[in-house]
Amino acid sequence: MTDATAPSHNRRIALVVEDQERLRAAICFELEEAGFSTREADCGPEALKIIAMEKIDIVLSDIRMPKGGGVELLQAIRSRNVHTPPVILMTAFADITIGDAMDKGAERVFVKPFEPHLLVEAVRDTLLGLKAKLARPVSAAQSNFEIEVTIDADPTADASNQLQFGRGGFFLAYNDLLPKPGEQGHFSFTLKHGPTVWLDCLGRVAWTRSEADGSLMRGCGVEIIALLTPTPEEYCGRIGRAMSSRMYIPCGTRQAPPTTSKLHSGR
Amino acid sequence: MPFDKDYRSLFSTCCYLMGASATVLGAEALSYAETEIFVASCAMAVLSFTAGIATKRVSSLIITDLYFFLWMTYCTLVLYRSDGIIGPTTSLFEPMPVLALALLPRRRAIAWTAVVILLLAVLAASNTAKELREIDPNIQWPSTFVSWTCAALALSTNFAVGSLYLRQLRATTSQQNRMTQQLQLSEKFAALGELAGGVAHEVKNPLALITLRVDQARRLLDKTPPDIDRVQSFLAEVLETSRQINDVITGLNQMTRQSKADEASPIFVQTIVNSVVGLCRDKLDRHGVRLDVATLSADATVFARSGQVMQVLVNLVQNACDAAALSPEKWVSIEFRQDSAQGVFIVRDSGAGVPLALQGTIFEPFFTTKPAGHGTGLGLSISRKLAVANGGTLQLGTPTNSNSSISTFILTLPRRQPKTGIDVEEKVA
Repeated sequence: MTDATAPSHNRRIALVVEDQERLRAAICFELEEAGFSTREADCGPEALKIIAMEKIDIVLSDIRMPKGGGVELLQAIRSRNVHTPPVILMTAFADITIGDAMDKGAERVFVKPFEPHLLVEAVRDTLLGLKAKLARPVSAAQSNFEIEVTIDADPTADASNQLQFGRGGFFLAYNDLLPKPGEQGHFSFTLKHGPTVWLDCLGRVAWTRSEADGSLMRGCGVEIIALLTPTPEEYCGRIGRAMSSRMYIPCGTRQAPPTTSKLHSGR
Repeated sequence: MPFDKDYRSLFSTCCYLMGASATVLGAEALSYAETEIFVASCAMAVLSFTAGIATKRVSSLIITDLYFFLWMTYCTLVLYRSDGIIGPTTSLFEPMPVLALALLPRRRAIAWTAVVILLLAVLAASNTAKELREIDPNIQWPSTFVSWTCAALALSTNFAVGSLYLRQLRATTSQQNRMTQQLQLSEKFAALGELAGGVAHEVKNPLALITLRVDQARRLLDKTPPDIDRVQSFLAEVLETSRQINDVITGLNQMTRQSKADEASPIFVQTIVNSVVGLCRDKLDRHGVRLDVATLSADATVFARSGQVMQVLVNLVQNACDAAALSPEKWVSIEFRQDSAQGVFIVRDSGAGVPLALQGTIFEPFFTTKPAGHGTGLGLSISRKLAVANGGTLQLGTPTNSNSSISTFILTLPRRQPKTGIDVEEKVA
């Protein structure tokens, strides 16, 4: 983690893409106070130019901008590289669902107005890297609910409708009462054929979909914030590698004809 | 004119003509008729119904009544050259079905009409038979009876049909008024729906700035020594941004205001334009359209209902934005000019402009060049109505030859309260 006193060449560089000049200045001020170097752009194309010229560590982008929006920028960045630089989207209006944004590769979506310190926390968090992120100490008190699911097969190996993994978390097709977005809970996945707990983690509900919508299934998108089983090292080796080329959290598109297996889950 | 209205008026006019013909034919059989009666009747029938259709009001009943009175008197005088009682008597009875139809519930009205028709028929038959025998003893009773009963029946039926038609016409008109009001409302809601997203954007963006700046100012004050200059500048930003939010919300409030609460009054042009810009800013931004607002003098006012003027201007700017978005230059401009009597808003855009062929139709209801699902096609027609209701006009500007691609809309509004005291409410309804 950097701080405000660190020499400028050591600082991580955040690119702030926002068409409202004052808001852009305020966000930059916030990040600079937190020890980041900042670059500014007022539209997507401008941001892409900066990214092409300089190594940018993280991009914070507004969605609605007259000269080129944030979603297009996100797609352009992700088409070049799946994870770097990570992109945090900020929006004042529901232009895109959080599920869609994360499926397109955004690490986080902030709805304006947001708590300034949460933005900084999210930026720091995003820059930590998967392993460090998953190794953060977590207390059990941070969990609001528990969900246990028996899965048919390793979701990293087969396309599954039940559980779909991205590099930051997973989509869980869930027929029971859905947790609320923003809540943190304990998720435990057990393989049907085998006694082992496949994954045991603390997750933050990034978004929920209370009704199936076309090919999109009912369920929730969950960001993994801490691992209990396996260890972060093991996760990064076993699951993380398989996931590394995927988007942040999948949006839960039905992959194949619905499986006959029953979802054993409870809160 | 819609088909059903045409059809009904045609039907009723035919009835009148039939009635006139029947009467004249009846008289013809008695060799008392003259061609001029027939021609006059036809002309009068057409005239009265044209008047009825044109006015769409109770006055048309009076016109038709007057027509019958004159016609019957004429017939009486020409046919008998005596003071026979058929004309005046039937004329006395004629308004009855009309009044009954206008005032009573339908069934009772029909019953009354039937009674009156019967009475008329009997009266007409007995009287004419008697009188005609006095004039000419050779005339046979049955033929007189039949022809004059026919005539009376035809007349009364026509009148009943006519008044029914008028009754229906009035009902249709009030229904149309209601529908127009509903459409106006739905157009307003459609505009609001489109604005809603923009408003959320226009409020939440400044709110994000306020949240950030207040938080930052607090931290700057905690520092030792506190960075007072920066805090000052941040707070100034917060203040201005709060005003910006206020403009947007005020604008939205004005637009949604019920027409009764929206009294015509002198309104500041600058306030209105600021609110309109606030409401449309997001849409313009989304389409990458630049908005130029000519500097407005702070004291410029127009006398109108602010909500309605805003609705018109928002509609014009949104249309302009849609048009400009398709052009390479992408700009919309708002300009205001005034003289002693009038204030003129001019909204221009860089779009392709309204083709010459469409210039006559763009203000018609349901006319739209937008694809289905985009726009109701009522915006401009309602806007023009609102402009007129406020004692003003809304028209398409004439493009200059050098720059014929520019489309310009001109909204003219009075600067002072009209002396005639236009009842805006009634005119809109």
